[in-house]
Order: sequence, then C-alpha cells, then structure tokens
Amino acid sequence: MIRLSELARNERCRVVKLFAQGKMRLRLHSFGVFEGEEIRAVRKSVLGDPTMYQIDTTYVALRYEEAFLIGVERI
Amino acid sequence: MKKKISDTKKNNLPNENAVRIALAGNPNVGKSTIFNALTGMKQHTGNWTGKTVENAQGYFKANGKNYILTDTPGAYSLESYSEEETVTRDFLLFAEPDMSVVVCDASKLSRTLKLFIEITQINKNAILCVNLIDEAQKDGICVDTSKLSELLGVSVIATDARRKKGISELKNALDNSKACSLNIAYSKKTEELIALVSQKLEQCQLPKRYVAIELLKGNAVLVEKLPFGNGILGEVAEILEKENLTFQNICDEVSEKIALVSKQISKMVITRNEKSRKITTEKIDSVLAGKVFSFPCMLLFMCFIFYITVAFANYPSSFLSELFAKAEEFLYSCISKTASPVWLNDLLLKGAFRTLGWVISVMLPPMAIFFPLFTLLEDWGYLPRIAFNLDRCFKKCSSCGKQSLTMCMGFGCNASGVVGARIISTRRERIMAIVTNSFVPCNGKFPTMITLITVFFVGAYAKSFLVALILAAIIICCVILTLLVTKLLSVTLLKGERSSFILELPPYRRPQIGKTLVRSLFDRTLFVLSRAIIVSVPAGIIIWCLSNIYIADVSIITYISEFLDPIGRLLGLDGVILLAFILGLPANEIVLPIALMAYTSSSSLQESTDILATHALLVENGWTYVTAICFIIFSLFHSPCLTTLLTIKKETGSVKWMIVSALLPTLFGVLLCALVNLIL
Repeated sequence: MIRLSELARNERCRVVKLFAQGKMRLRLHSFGVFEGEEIRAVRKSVLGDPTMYQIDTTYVALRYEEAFLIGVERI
Repeated sequence: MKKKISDTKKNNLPNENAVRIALAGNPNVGKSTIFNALTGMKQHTGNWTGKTVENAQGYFKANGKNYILTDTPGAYSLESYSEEETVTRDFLLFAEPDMSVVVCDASKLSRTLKLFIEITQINKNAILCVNLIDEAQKDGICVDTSKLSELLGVSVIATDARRKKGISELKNALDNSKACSLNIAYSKKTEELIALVSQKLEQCQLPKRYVAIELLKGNAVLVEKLPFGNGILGEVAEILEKENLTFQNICDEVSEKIALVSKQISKMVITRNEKSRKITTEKIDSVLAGKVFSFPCMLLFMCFIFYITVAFANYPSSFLSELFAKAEEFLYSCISKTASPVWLNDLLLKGAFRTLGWVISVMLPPMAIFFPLFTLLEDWGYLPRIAFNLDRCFKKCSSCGKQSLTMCMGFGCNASGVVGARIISTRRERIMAIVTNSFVPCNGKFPTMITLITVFFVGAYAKSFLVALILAAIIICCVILTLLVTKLLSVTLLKGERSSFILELPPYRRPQIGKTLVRSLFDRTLFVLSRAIIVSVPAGIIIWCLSNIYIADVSIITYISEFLDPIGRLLGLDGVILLAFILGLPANEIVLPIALMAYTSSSSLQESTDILATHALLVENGWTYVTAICFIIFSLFHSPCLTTLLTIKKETGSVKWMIVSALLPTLFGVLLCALVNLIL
C-alpha cells in the first residue's frame, strides 16, 4: 500500500484504507472516496501542490497533507 | 430554541394554503438556476461551488396551487461539515417543509444521489430533479429516469434548467408528490441500536429514526439544537460502549451504506459511452491549470479584461460628460428664469448635479464593462482554477485555498467577497479571508485608478494597453500584499492550524453571454451606481457649501483642508483629498469625483472630463506624479466602504473584526504613502 500523495501523474489507483478521521473523513466520503473506489491523478498545480484527482466523473483538488491520508494501491 | 423554530415556521408561512418546498442539492448542480426558472426571480448564479450561502425564498403558482420555494445552500451531505450543510439540514429538520425538490447532477449521479437519500431520511416526500441532462449527454452519459423513478418511488424529472427544459414537467410533478419508497437497512446490530435509542425519543416531534441515527453518530452540533440537553450523547455513548462500538464506527457504516446504495442505484440507471467533453475540460485544464501556461494565462486574462475596460470605457465616458455639461447648462438657463435665489441654483446645479454627472460619467462606463466580463469568467468556471493555481501561496500563509475564490470575488465587490467567505469552513480562516478581502480593489476603485493612470502616467486614452499593464501590475502587488497580510494575521491575531482543503473543479460551461450581460448590468452595476448616486448628491451639496460659505473671507473648506493638510502632506496627499476620502466612506467610487468637485468649486476652471483639463486642474491644485501615486495607493488601501464594513460586522458577528478590517488596510495605506512620499 502507498499513499495517494505518492501517485504520479496519470496513474490510477484503488483506495485501500482511509486514514482521515472526523470531518475530513466525512468530506472525503461525500466526494465518493471509499475503500475500493478508483482514483486517477490528473495533474499537479504549477507550484507543486495541490494535485487534481479524478474520482468517478468528478475533478477534485487535494493538498499533499489530505492526499497522504488516503492509502491506495496502484492499478 | 423551540421558540426560534416555531418562529422560522411562521415566517415561512405567509399563506396558509401554500405548499412549502425545500430546494436542495449538491453545490454547483444548478439549484439557483432551477430556483430562478421556477420563481422567475433573478438570483445571481455562477460556475463555482458555494454560490448560494443562505436560504432564499420565492413564490410561484402552478396548476392553481401556491408554492413557497426555499433555496437552501449547496450541500454535499447533511453531515454538517460546513455551515451551508448545517443551514440546509436545520431547515429540512426544523422548518418541516411539505416536500423537498432535490437537484442532482446527471453526470455525477452516484455522488449527488447520496444527498437525496439523506434528505428522504428526514422527509420522505420528495421529487428528484436530474439536472444538467444535456451536459451529461454530451459526456456520453444517459440516465434512465423512469427506471430511477421506479427504484426510488418518487417522481424523477430530467431538466436542463439553463435552457428551461423540463421545468413545466417539474411544476406538474409538484402536484402529486410521492413518498420515497427506498428503505436503508443497516447491519443487524446497528438496527437494534437504532431501535433502542428511538425508545428514548418518545417526546421528540422530529423524525425519530433520523434523530436516533444522528445520536448514534455522535452529532454534537445537532444535539445542541434538540430539546434533550447534552446528557443524551453520554447515554448513547454508553450504549455503544457495551457493544464495543464508537460514534466513528456508526458514522462510517451509515455514510458508506448510503454511498453504496446510491452507487448501486446509479449503476442500474446509467448507460455510458466514454469520451467527449470530459476530455475537453481536461484539455482546457492542461493549458489553464497546466505547468507552462497557467500563470501566463492568468495574467493574460487579467490584462485582457482591463484592456477592454479601459479601451471601451472612454467613449461612453466622454459622451456622458458632454451630455451632463449640456444638461447643466440647459437646466441652469431654465432655473435662472425662476425666482429662486442664485445661491440655491448654484447649490443644486454646480453642487449636487455636477457631482452626480461626474460620478456617472467617470464611474459607470468602466464598471458596466468590467463587471460583466468578470462575471463571464466566473460563469465559465475559471475561478476555481485560479484557486488551484494559487493554492500553494495561500497554504504557505496557513490559510484556506478557497480564500483565493473570495479574493477574486472581491474584485467585483468586497461586500460579496465577504459574504462569499462562508464557503470557508473554519472560523479562523474565514475571518482571515474577510479581513484581507479589502486588500484587493473592488469594481468601484478601478475607474479612479484608470483615470489617474491615464492622466498622469500614460497621457492619452489611445494607449489603453499601457494602462491595462500598469493596472495588472498594481493588482499583482495587491495580491502579494493580501498574502503578506494573511501571513501576518496567521502569526499574530489569528494563530492556529490550517484546516483541510478539498476543492471541486467543475467542468467548463459555456457562459450564457446575453443573460450574464443583462443580469450583471442590472443587478450589480446599477445597484452599486445607485448607491454612489445616493451618496454623491449629499456629498456634492456638502462640498459646495463648504467651499462657498465664507467665514471672514475664507471658505470653510479652506479651514478644513488647512487643518487636514499637514496629515495629508505627510502622506503625499493634501487636505482636500483626505476630506474626499472621509466623505467617500459610504461609497469608494465617489472619492475622486468629489475631490475634483472640491477643486473646481474653488477654481476658475470649467468642469470637464477631458484628460488635459483634468490634468491642468489637478496640477493647478498642486498635484505631482507623487500625489497621483499616493492617491492610488491610498484609494487601494483604506477602510472598505460602509456597506462592506456592515457586512463584515454581520458575517463575523463582532465589532472587533469590523474595526480590524477598517484599520488594517488604512494602516498599510498610511505606511505605504508615507514611504513613497519619503522616497520620491
């Protein structure tokens, strides 16, 4: 298992474990981040952070710290 | 609390027979557009998350029935992550609307359906509105609404609210709303717990199962609003402990279950053929949010907007000023035939009317051009990309990336930027965004800057591009200063940890050009302008009186400006300018006109907006290019206008933050002006 923040551009992964707690966890849930869900890293911002991810048909920007809280496996 | 709840109920019931509908949905799915289409009202819409931040109400009639529609702020779920979600949840739970219309995004059904399920846990009477159906079709996503209706047991209407498609079907469906037949069953153990907690809730008038589940989730925010006291959460925690469970376990189970159900349902009703516009959005993003072009594009857009504003504003500007000059002449000749005294004629025409003419001819054209252009960018979906590009800077200042969104709104109007700060979920970061908002110039300050830059540094209207470049450079300085002040606040008054940041990047949507132009002109520009007029007429009268009432052969304005002069000189300004800033507190856009007014009324020069005349007038009154620079700096950084200040007080609920947001920019303005004055 790696962290979502380690994903390189255009790589796909499957969520294995959510480390986020409390409100952040609920927030991720509401964006469809659940165990077993697929995520693709679309691009990094010019300044290196945040990163744009694609979850299902939605594009979402996450900062490094938040992406670090999502344990994933490359696919 | 109970009293308050019944109050809300009463307020929502002006007509006993009306059916009360709550309109809910995820952010940016077009709720406001549906609201407008149903009620015919004109709420401002934009392509970014969190546009509607408080409940708006509208009334309409359909099939002989009266309806009251309440537009709730966009919510991803009802789990109270943010203020909007709490507002939405509270409305559904406590105001007890007769039914809810839940708006979904057709291309994000599985995600947006979740809110529908959550809402039907509170009130089963609902209608599902699958909006943006055309957009989804372009993406190759097809939604089988009749099957969806079958699965949920409620009416499902496919709409494209922007093109008014499906609205009449929606109105018809309101007539026979059905109860949602979907039942969410949790694990056996959880169900037992729900039953156990429900027994404690006999007194409770609210939907018991929903409240029981929220208690098991440990929802402290909700418990505060319920009539049981805080002790109940402890009792529930004990029950959970016996089963070796925590609030968090229940939270996860509920949230995952609802997500799973909505995913399963959407899988059953959606047919997809890949490709198309999703790719288009990604392609546009590869330029606008990409490695090479993102910053150049931001600059380019900014310069372009300024260029258009400057280049196209001066024709209507000179036309209007000529018109007003002629009108003044005409009115004067009319009024002088009557018996009214000369001083009154002068007061009304050379005081009030002339100031009004100045404000309208100098301020209206740039504002009427800048604001719609800005709104078009917003409509298109560009603002969240700016937030994406700049987030790192805001993160370094330990603030929320969404602050760049509110900052961008500030360019339109600081007051709406302050209100927009509600999208930021923690109080610390929200106040940071509010206090720093007036560090970017609002729409009303642009005409002043354009005039001064043209008059003192460019010299002719023909070089609009140069003016735009200088403006862009000024804006960059403002953004940098915003960041610095944010950082400063985060280590002094607003210490604390930064919160998490998730920003949705919506697909680009083709802006509705005609509608945007009309709406932003009427809703915003005319509003700001009418305020300026209301303020400028009395200000014109005051200035005229001050400069024409003499005490011992010296006009009052001379006394005042001599009194203020030493302070003004220190800042590279003069007494008259300071007086203009003080009088202009209610509306920034009148500062330069009333300063000019004060000069003309005590000068032999005729009023004119011709740049050579303006230049001559200002130079005659001792202006140099240093004065112009200091004026620009001080007009950028002084107390925000009265409307903004009152909005800040309302939004922060504290006078302290209102004072801080008035003093902080003024402090920077004073320091910068003094510094510039010292160096140059």
